[in-house]
Amino acid sequence: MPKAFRHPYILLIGVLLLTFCKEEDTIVATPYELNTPFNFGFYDIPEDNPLTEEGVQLGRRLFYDKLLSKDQSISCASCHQQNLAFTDGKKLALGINGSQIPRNSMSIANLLWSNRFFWDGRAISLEDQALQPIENPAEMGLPIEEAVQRLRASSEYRALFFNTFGTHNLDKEHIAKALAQFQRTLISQDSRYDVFLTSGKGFTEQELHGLNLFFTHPDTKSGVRGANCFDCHRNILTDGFPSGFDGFRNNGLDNPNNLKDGLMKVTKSESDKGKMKVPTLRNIALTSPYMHDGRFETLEEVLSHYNEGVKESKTLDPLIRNATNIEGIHDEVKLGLTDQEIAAVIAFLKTLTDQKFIQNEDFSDPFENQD
Amino acid sequence: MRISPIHLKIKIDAIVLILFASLCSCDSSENNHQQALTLNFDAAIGNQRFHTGEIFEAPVGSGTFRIERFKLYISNLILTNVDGEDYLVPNSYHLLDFSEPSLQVDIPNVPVDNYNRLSFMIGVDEVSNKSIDHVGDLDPTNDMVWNWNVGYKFLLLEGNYFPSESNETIGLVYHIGFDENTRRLEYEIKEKSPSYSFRLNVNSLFDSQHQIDFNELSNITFSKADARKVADNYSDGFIQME
Repeated sequence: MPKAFRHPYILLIGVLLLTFCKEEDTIVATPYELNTPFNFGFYDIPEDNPLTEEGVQLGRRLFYDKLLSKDQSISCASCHQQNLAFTDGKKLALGINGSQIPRNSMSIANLLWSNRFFWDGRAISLEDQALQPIENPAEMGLPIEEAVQRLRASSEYRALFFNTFGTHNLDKEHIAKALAQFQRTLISQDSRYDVFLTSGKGFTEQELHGLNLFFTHPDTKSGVRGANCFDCHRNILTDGFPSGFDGFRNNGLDNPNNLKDGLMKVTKSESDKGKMKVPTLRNIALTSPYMHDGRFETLEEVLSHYNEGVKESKTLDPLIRNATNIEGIHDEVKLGLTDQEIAAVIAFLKTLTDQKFIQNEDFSDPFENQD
Repeated sequence: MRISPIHLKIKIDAIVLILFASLCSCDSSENNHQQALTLNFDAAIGNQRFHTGEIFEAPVGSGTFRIERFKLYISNLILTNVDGEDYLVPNSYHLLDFSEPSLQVDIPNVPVDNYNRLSFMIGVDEVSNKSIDHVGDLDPTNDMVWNWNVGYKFLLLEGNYFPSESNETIGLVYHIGFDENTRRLEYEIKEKSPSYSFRLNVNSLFDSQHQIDFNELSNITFSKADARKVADNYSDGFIQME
């Protein structure tokens, strides 16, 4: 009995000893404390890429470093500028050599709660997303192996990667992980809407009216008027729903002949043609122009599209097709908000601007105040 | 690698603690006779397997339809034993999201005493329906939320209807909520098992106690009379135990 007992006991000690030895050999980065608002809900962080102080700082540096573009002329931050809530103010994004990308730069706020990335949803994680713009010949145009070489050649980066990941063998996965870590910290949570959500205060009559319209699907039968924005832009976060492909919708921008593939490129299903990622509306007043191709300059144009410019196609979202404030309409897609209602929705949208977010020094260019 | 005596002391303490903790946990589970329960849900349209994005015959009248999203809440699972005593599974709020046609709901640690009836509610009880807490699958940021502050949709079905006699497309939006539209479904357990399978027939929502023709009623949201029709239908043969 004592022998049988002692045996596994010693084994257990052995295992623990090994664990201790291993720990002393590797660098352990400092866990990063993420402060998320309780009402933003659940999020997932991949187990193999926990946030660390070192990783977030490294990611921030990579995000702002032009070293990651072929001719060292642009960085991630060229298209994602903090003062514009990480957009660029352009209709279409510009890559190296001034080449135009057929997509508008998306804001990258609150991506911690998002499940798929790019307008067509082709990336399933921020790690999966991070390297694609670097490699894309039309964007930053730098083959990822070359990016790795460049970073390995820098003693400063070698030290930063070692302090973060405990390896001298920095690789493309580490670049992706660090960029993803930084992006997960880009949380916009200090808009006037956030104050309203927690206090129920601070909104004008008009903003309150806009909020109610935003969050209501119209029902003429019951006399309920609505702008049905929240059918796609969910409560609180105002981005698309992060379950399955629910965050991808055809919002009626084009008739069937001009409909882009969108999500169909990923799922290969005809029923997903023309569906694009529903972006966050946080800071929307700062992120003009709008839509995947930047076709609308102002929020008034956007509202006018939804009110009377929706084009029919087989995959047009049923919640848009069905939504009307005009009694008796059946064979036409027409939301039918009044001018006053449109102004109210826009007033509400402007409460989503977050000055703290665009001024937060933790998100700013680390190269700017150096030397 | 050298280990200092203080390290060894910490490790021995840790081992004792682990052994003690594991002994405690064994004890409690044996006393309560608990086991995990799995509920499987498969969605169908008539005799066909349900898939979002696929085209099916309309349940009432002519034409075809395609569903984009189909979700519902089941909650407040109760096991009733032969003496009529109820065991309410705590915090049981489960969102059945049929973006996949087969779903599995795992319920840990239910008492395995002599229960012979199982029941759950379609919808969310009044108390939780007014709360913004994250309990189970209740999530105030998901697409089951009615409004910015008013409860949950119990059942959500969105899609497009293609009538046979014209080229037009009609949007289908059925959002069924309101406290009065919760319905409790009860099933008799003849043979106890760690898992039970249920089959949902989407057509029952439109073709049961009440007939709902997509041509006439393509939108049910805030109309209480219309919402009740769907609720009556989902209480009658919509979810059957297999």
